[in-house]
Amino acid sequence: MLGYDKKRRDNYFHFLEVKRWGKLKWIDEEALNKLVTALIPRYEPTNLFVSIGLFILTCIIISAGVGFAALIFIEVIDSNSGWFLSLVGALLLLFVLQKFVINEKHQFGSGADEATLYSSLAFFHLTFILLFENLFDSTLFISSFYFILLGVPAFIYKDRLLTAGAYLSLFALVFFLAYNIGGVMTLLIPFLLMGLSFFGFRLSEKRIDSSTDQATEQCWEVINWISIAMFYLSGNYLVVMELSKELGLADAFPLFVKIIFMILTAAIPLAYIYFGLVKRNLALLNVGLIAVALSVMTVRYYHSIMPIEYALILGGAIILGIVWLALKFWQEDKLGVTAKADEDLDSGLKIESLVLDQTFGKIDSTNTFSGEGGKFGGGGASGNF
Amino acid sequence: MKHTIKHLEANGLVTEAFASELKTYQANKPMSIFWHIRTLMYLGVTLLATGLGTVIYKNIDTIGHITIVGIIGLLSAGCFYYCFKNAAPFQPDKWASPNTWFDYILLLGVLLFITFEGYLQFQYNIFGDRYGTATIIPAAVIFGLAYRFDHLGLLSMGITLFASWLGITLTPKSLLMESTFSDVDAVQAGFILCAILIGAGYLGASKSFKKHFDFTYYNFGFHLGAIAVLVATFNFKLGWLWIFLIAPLVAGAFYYAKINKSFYALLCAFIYSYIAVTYLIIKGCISMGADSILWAYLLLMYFIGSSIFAIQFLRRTYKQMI
Repeated sequence: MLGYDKKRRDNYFHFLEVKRWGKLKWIDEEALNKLVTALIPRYEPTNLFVSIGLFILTCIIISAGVGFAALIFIEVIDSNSGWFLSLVGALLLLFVLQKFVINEKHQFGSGADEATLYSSLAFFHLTFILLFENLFDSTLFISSFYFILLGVPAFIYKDRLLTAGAYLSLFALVFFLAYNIGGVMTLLIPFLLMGLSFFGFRLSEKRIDSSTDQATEQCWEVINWISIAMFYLSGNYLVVMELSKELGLADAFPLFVKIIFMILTAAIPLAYIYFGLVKRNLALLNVGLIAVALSVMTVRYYHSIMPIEYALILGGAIILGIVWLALKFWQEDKLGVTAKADEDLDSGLKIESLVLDQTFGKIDSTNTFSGEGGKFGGGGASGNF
Repeated sequence: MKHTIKHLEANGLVTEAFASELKTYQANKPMSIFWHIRTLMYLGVTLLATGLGTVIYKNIDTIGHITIVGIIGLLSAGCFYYCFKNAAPFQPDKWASPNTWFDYILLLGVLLFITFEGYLQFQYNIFGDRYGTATIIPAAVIFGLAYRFDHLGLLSMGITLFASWLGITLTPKSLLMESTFSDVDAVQAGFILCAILIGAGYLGASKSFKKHFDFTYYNFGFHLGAIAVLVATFNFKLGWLWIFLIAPLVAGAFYYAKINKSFYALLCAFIYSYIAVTYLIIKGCISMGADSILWAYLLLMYFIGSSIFAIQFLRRTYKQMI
């Protein structure tokens, strides 16, 4: 069967979580060891920097292997056989990924598995380019092709990067579909994309809530973030107008539609920030803050109200003013929002003797919550790498 | 967290009380905007300082510039006054800032101070043609402030200014893309700076004087030294002789990685050593007149073999370190 072993993958995430509990002293050493032992079999986690190293090295091995094969088959490679060899390469890499990297070496998120998967997809890509070269002139075909090429492995391997690629391909597909239909559909493109984003957002919200494992949830979170960003970008005045010019539709939008885009450009970031704070949704808040900067740039692109230096000073002063107000407002936790760091909140939770001893039954548990308050400071980067 | 609690509860690995406590905590936990606040503060300070710097730049010969410069000087002095007034007495260890604003007010003060000093040099030539003095003085001030107020960001700024005093531009782009180490003198300056930085880091760590600054010193020193070696190797006549100088740097980085469980240091040491060894092997092949297909096969086999070995090495070292 293709893909990762679900049990091992789930235990991988549970292992990371209980290690975090141990670090926060929510559970003692003994309890941690019991849980770690119980979470077997699992994929072993790898440090980010080690993963980067393994990713680079696996890419080197694959590139050198391809070079080696190319030297051996140099006599038989021509325009007719190239696609076949490329397909063989893709299937071979997929086999190595499944049989050796995943099943035997139990790699998950280690860099080695991602490098093999992406290389295999690159070969599949090459195969189709060599086979259907003519079809790659059609933007509609290209976007559909990428949607399937990235979407299928994203679903099988629950890979966030592939999920993002497949979802963006879907946006491209809708865009080119409407553009190819032409007429009024061309003018409806921004609204179609906003509709797709909204649908993606609602669906991802539901799926995040109902997901049964961490890997699936993370993929839906990616869709959630992209939906929020695309909803804003699809209605951004600068993006819509500049794209319209590119498509030869410079004056196609009537004035009232342009006004709608202006309103959307100004209102969406503020709505994101508001709902981000009220609904405690970090994705909305983060995209909203970035969107504010993009909206300011949009306004400056069309109306340079003041010289750049004064705009910078004013912008800096406004931002610091907002921060001052925010800090004043959130001196104490309000509306489910706090200015304290996540780590400070987590370390405030004190729980003792909580793990069920499978041999001797339950250990009595007592728990207390003692907020320690926020610790601030450290403007520079910490040295903890 | 919700999946883990559910799994552990379903398998009887945690008590109901524990699961319930964590679920309640998770449901009621407020959303933290800690990093949003800090990012916005940093952005605000940077925009403000950049805007004021641009005002100076654009109005340098106009009538009103004295007023603007005066305001910038006063603002900078005000920031420093606030910091000295509110800071706890000097401590050789790590200490927390008195409040959220403190680090950013200090940063604003320093950025405005640099603008102020740059203007004075440009307009009144206060240091004459001694451009080195115009660079080393703010570097010394920033180093002093970094130590006084325990600010890693200022330490990095101080190191960058100190490097520019030695004639080295310390940005990743300039180090990799531009000819920062175009001659032997520049490479030597790079080595001297590398030795000073690593020495400063070691001294601080061994004397427990701002011990937590050591990573910043080592990081700058290691990359500077390693890049100087590689550039010298690639560009100079008999350049391959330089490559051996990378050995002590890499050994030091591996040692640091093992002692401090730093996977970042491990990765950096590994990348530089892999580049060095691979360069030596390819150079060796070229010097032996390798121009047949057999050499191509051998080199490809080297890449495959060395990468497999390196993967095993990285994984083994990682397991030893965790």
